Amino acid sequence: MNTAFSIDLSPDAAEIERINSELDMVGQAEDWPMAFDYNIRLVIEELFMNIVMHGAKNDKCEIELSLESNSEIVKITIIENGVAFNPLTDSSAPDLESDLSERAIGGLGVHLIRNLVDDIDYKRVSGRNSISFSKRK
Amino acid sequence: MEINAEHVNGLLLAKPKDRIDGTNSRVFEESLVEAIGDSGCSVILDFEELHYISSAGLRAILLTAKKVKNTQGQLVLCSLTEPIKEVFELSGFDKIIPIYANRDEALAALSS
Repeated sequence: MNTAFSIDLSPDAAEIERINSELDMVGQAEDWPMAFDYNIRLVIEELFMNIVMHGAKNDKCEIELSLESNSEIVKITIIENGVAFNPLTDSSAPDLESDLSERAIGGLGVHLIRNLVDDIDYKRVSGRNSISFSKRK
Repeated sequence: MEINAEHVNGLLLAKPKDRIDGTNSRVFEESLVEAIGDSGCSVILDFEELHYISSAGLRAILLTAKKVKNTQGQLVLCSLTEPIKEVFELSGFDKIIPIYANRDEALAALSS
């Protein structure tokens, strides 16, 4: 079975709820296992919140999120016209070692993304940021 | 967001429900810090009814764990789903925040 959707989003954290409504439908229709479902949602939220916090400097930022899914793989692409920002190279490295008092905050989102996807790619195309990731079922 | 906090034997037992994400992590952190109070106490976060947390939620937990440590308390977690446990491990949080299988084990560890 092949599934696809595309939605336009504004750079507002509250849009996570709308993203989740779309994912609810696909996840239920395809019977995604709990961990797979969680990881897909997590990676999308991390990428989306990066755009909200770093990329989108004004309300004119337009974000398009699309999903394609087949029996083997889910592929998500997020394209937006915010300032050039590659989360894979422009984010700080996380602190995974310090003790609790010294543990630095930040960089965890991209670290999680890298560890939870099978493939991820960033491109700057025609003044837009385009990031795609895929995860095997 | 609901955190269902109650004080038991000088500890705060909080059970966040459903999700901690970029839309509610600040409210979660503020509710938790308010429930802990100025004088501080140890905290058990019971994740039995939590099925989603993002890095925004991890940040809230790290900041709260640091505050609790500053008042000589300890913040611990229990009853994590497997996918959430994996995210705590990937984040290296399992090295700084104790994780217990269930509430009884967490209570026993903090009482000893």
